[in-house]
Amino acid sequence: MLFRPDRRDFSLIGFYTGKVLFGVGVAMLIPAVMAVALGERNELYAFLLSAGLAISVGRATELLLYTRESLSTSHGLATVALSWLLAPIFAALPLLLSGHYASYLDAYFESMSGFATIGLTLANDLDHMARSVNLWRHLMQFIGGQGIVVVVLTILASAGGRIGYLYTGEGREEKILPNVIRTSRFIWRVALIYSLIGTTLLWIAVIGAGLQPLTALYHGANLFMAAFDTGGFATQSSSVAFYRSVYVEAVLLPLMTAGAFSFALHYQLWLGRRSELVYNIETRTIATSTLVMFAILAVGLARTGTFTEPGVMMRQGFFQVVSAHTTTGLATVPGRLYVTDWGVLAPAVLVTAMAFGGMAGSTAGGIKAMRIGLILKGVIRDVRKVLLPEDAIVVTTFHSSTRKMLTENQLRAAATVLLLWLVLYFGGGLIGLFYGYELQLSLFESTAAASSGGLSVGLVRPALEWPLKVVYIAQMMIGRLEFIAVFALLGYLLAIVRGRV
Amino acid sequence: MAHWSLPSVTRLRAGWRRSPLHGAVLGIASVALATVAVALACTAIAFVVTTIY
Repeated sequence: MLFRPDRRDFSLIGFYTGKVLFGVGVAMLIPAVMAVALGERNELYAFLLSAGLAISVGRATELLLYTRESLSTSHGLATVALSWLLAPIFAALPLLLSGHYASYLDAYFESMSGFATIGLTLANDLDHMARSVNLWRHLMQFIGGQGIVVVVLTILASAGGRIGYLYTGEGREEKILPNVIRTSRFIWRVALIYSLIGTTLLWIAVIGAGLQPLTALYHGANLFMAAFDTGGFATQSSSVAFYRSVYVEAVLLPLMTAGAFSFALHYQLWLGRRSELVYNIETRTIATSTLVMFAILAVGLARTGTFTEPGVMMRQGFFQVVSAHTTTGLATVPGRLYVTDWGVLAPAVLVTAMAFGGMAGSTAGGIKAMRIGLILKGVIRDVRKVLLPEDAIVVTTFHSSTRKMLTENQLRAAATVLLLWLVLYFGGGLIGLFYGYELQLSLFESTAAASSGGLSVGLVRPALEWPLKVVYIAQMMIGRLEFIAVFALLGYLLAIVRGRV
Repeated sequence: MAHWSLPSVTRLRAGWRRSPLHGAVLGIASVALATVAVALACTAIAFVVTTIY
């Protein structure tokens, strides 16, 4: 059967996308308030102009395409992808008007990097950026981390139970509670309580690092959003190294870990089921891979003589491994050192850690621990089948909230998505090679963009060739939405091109 | 005349367990515990590796 969308389908997609744009415009009023408080007049005008534009376009689209019809799966997925494509168009305007970006493409790149919680930046002179603009960069991570569409629609509370399709479209596979509204409320509760505790602890740690209390509060709030939403933006160009504080790093480590935990796991832990930490397939996979990767990284760093003291190796190496594995992208060393001082093995570990990523249904990106864990279980099951007598029945189970049986369908789905991830990582890497960059650099940056890892070896900079910027933007979006929503939007676009409308 | 007395420890504990903060504290403590456990294991690895090299 041919896919033949009609005018009603496009109206429905446009209607909900309009709501999202309206919500993004309203969100821009938060940094506008800060601009008023700090007397940043030019930035205030930029935010008001951009917010006004987003609100007007969003509201006009809603009114023009008003519909009372319900969303189907394909509508939901296409709405999510279209919203993620259009929201950065408006979110980029205050960035461009701040004068810290060389072009509109650079500002769009920054917005996509923010919403998709990547952490790669094209900002010039970040250290002197107006605080309201810098807050907007971090706020985009917070909104994107929770799920830009779900955030807007739950606040506007206008899509009711139908946001289920939008929820899945943003890479959230698991409904924690019986319905999506209750699930998103729980996600909000976790985020808000963590933000209260995390910001307070970071505020104290940053004061300890020598900053004034009000400045420290601003740094603490931004650092929290960068860590818990696994975003990786920083208020300073030297990232976390700016603070030179072991306390700041110590607070950031559990916050990044919490960001990479699935909200389903948070729910279990909040119910007091601590055994989930030991038995859950994802915590086991992440804990094991962190230990293995840190061991390889330690060997690599020791062989090159970069760090010979265990304390220094632990502080620098462990922070970088956790930052990469949780796909946060905060760094305590300048990115260029990964290639000049860290040898070959250690950067390869960081690439692998970013590629693996966090847990499914968390704010982290990457292949996800669930898929890696399932595939490993599948491999072990196949080996057992070969070794045992032919008539033996091999049953493999895994634990995720409850004990479940591993099925062929789950394995096939995990393997298919794994393959897509590898194509995304290596595809971007190959395009980097085409532009003359070394394999190590282009693969590092491509993986950082696609997995939302956000660590950088310095390839992503304002002088980067514009086609590569476009490739990285596409990788960020495809990676964050985990393919399917983007494919759905492409399906609609192809139908238009082929005249099947 | 209304009689007022100090709430018992049992009642306080029951009230705390019913409060939404109870779950949050448990959840956050579990995440912190997991991070510390992995960090300690990694410290041991760092010691072994630096001793060998």
